[in-house]
Amino acid sequence: MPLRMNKSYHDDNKFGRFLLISLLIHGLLWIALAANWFGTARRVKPPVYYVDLVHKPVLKPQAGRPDSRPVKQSKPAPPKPKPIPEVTPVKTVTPVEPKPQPTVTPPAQQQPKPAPEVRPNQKLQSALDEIRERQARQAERDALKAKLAALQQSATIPDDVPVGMPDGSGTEVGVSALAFVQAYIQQNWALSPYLLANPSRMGSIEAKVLLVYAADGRLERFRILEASGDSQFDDSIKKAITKSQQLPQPLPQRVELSVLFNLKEMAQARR
Amino acid sequence: MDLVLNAGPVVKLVLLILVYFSVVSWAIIIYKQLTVHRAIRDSDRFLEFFWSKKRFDAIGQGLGEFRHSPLTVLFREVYHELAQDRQQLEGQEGDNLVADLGKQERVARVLRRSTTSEGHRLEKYLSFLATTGSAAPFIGLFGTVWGIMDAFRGIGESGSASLAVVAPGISEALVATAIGLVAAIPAVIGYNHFVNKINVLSGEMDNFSQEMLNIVQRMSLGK
Repeated sequence: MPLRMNKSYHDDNKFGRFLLISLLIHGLLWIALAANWFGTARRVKPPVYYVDLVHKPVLKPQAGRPDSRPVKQSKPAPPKPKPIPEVTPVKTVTPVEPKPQPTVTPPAQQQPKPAPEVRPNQKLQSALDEIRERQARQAERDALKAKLAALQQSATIPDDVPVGMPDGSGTEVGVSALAFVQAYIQQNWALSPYLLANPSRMGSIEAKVLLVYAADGRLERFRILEASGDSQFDDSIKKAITKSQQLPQPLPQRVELSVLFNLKEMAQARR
Repeated sequence: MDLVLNAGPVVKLVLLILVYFSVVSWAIIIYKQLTVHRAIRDSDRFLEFFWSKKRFDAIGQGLGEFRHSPLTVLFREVYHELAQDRQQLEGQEGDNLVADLGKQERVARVLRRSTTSEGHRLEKYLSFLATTGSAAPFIGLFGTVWGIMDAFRGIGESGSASLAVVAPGISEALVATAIGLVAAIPAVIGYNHFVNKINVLSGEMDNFSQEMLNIVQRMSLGK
């Protein structure tokens, strides 16, 4: 029986095996931490749509009838001349007079009062005629206005035609390149505490910038059209624009935008 | 993970050192857990076996079952010493008291030496755990301080002091302290646990040594 113990009697020489096991544990731990176990949406970024709900018809609104308020700005002229030709035929329809006349008759009844006092004078007569004529014209005008209003209210355009623009395709409703670009630059804009130190002056600080973006969303060039006068604000805008050299999504076409950056509005939007 | 990959070179080096500390610490913890657990288990079994037998020869033949116990080492050394002594005595004619007293002294020395060597064996690598427990947080802190210095330099260069600029640098820097603590906490816990267990084993070895000395003395007197 060997009485002396040799050194390999205990497992001291097998420490390397434990090192390997430890390395394996660390590797597994690393993988476990790197893996997305709970399926949080950290990696899957949801698409961001920039939609301007205030100025809805932008590039190519839906095809249809020019209804509602925005149409009044763009094409208000054509409908106006139309009623004018209609006025002339109304002249022939003078029999409308009887209607307003009853309202006018009371003053006509009042007239006879001075008649017994004043002798039939030619001047007076002509003046009276003039007044009557004016009243008749006024009544005629009122009737026409009422008719016009009624015409406008009643559906001159068929109801089944959808609201939109006559030349619109309806493919880009609500998409505003200007609003989108401005919002994106504003996101990249860093708020300097020095600029906010004087809130009373904030409203007057604004800069106008010309931005040219390619259709793929790349900034081609930019130029400050009107500097704000505050170098810090101008620098911060320049920084934000250089940060926004690549838009997160392409634009419908190459755009040249003149964007107005107002410090107060941007600071408010930032909050 | 991005925090680690985006960190600066110094912080990365610190992280590597801390990972090395952590890997070696865990290897030691697993290794020690295995050896100390086996040592305690085999010691308990050996003591039962030892007191159940009357003859050293019988005990010496059954030692193979308690390979991991430090007490078996003590017994083997004493047994070897006594066997040598017996061989010497067989060569000499007669018997004397001086030789018996010298035998007890030699056995005591053998037991002391074996206890010390077994204690060293059991405590092997534990100093690394102690070093990791005390140094890893400081190494991590160094990485954090360096990372924050880098972050502030970046802020100065960019000229922007917004939270979006400041926060990533600081969070990257803090990773070093976090990993330092991750390496140090198990090391400290493991160190305290094993030191306690080894103290128990040392106590057992001391008791066993005393018992062995008593037995040897009785053997000498009873002769």
